[in-house]
Amino acid sequence: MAPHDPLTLPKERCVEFLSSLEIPIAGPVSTGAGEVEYRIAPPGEMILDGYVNSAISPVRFPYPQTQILWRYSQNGEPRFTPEDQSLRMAIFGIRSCDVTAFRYLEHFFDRPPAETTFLDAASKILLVSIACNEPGENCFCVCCDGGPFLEGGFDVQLTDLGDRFLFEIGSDRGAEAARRAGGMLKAASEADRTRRERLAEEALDKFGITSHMATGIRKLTSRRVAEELWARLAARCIECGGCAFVCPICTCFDVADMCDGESNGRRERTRDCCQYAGYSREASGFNPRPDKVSRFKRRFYHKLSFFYLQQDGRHGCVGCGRCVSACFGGVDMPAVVNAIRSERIEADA
Amino acid sequence: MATHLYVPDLVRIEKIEGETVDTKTFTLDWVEAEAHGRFRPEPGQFVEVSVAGVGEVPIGIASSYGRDGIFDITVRAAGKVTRALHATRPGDRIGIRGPLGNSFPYDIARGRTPIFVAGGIGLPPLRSLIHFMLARPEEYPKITILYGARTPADLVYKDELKRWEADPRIDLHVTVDIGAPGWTGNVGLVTELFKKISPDYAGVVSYVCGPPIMIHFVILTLLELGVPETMIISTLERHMKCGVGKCGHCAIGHKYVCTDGPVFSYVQIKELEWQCGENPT
Repeated sequence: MAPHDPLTLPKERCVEFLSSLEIPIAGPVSTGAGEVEYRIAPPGEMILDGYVNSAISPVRFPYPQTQILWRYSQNGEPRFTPEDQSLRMAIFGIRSCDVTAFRYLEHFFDRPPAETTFLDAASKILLVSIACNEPGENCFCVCCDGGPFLEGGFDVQLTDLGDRFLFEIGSDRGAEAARRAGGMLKAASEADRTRRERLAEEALDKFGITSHMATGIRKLTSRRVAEELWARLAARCIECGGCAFVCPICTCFDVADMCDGESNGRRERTRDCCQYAGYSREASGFNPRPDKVSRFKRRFYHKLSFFYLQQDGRHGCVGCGRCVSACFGGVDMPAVVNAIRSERIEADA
Repeated sequence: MATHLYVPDLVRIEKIEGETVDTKTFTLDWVEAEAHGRFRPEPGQFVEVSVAGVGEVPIGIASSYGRDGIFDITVRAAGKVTRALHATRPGDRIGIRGPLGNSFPYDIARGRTPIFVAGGIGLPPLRSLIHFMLARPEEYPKITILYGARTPADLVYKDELKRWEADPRIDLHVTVDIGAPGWTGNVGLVTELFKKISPDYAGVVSYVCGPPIMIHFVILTLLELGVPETMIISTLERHMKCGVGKCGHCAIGHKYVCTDGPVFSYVQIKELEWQCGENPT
């Protein structure tokens, strides 16, 4: 991609810009309870500023909770027909953490053998993100290289400058979106650019949660986390699966066949959670992780082990804070990382 | 691989052979020439077997594979998909994805003494390599097979075992955990069978397949006998769903048994255990 100078888009022309894309657009829409959810909706319904990220990540568009892989019919010769659920669309107002998650998922599903089910869907989605001037109360992307502003990974990154957005192009597809917007976009002034840098700088100071990921990675990978600590943390897990289902970069799924009558049906995948006892249980009854502690360790091993980091290109957390909101037991990512980090201090005390 | 990772190809069930009260061998042939052309399994690889409307299970390929395209899978009825498989009849069509996973390294066995150690339903995946070696007498002149099952009734490939018994290239020893009327053979764990053989263990390469607990103790025995760590080759067993390293269920540490395995050397097993702190066997 050729480098592009930043542009500006007046907020009052944002709906017009989105309409100019001429594709379905998912964006933050009010749930009516002071929160937003990402929904495919008319651009006029979308909230342009001041919203805290949704409870469910918009990575659900390329990777839904439940998805049909193929359908079968057994009238005579059985037939398996792949189900294409991909949609050319845009996600508007996606937050930096979720853009980071989106790119992580692309990397994950691209590992050989590449999975076209996800990759096809992801490749058809234009990401128009809005950088976070104001982090939410559970956010800690600043600790996870997941935001609050992005240097890459987006197609378009918008920054809220009050009456207008700074419009940064991050890909050829983003450039195409800018071309469609045409005269709505103006070259950004020096002041606009400086303002963006200052907002990015100021946002870094507004986080309430700190999670020392590198320390977590070091101690976990070198196996310096005591069993007693795992046991103490796991004791608080109620095995609800909430952390995995809200996590934008959890990838595990279960597969099941559903019958539609005698001779037709479908194979579906549903996002799964490694904290469930049945997750690794075999038909023979053998279960390599029969106890909650081993499953809890497994979850954080996947998120924090250096071996996974090497394989996946980054560690398994973007700092979106959704597990902080979801976990009843208070054993979310920053809580666990901080417990691992302060373990020695506690032992010495 | 098919272009779509999860869509199976069709095979026709040519023959169904009852092995034990709960185990059958299915001989399968491809319905479409294109799928047949793509299918080039190596010994030790597995397939995902689909019964539409019921589900999919990973099953090791239990025979060598030639140009005729025909291959065997041996399946114990343990869950709902395997029970549905047992209810099929010759002529029925089922779905197959594969071949999947890595395979047994066989080049390292040239000039060494191959010892197969099988527990129960662990014999079928090893059979793919046994057939492979038997077809190449120049490279693999002699092999040893140690096979343990729960009871005499649980032994699979009973007719083939008789042929192997009579084959001068094969040193076969069979044992059962619990004897039965008419059984005059060995009784005891498969590890007991090492007392029946006395190879130069430094020159051995061993291929192990069976339930996790059996693998664990066979590896301990092989180490004790002096088999080099790089020459202990074992399958690892985990619950696989997708078979292509995506669904996460079969992970041990950061490895996926379905794509990084199912075949690992003891060196790899040990490294994995050190990395993740979980016992891979």
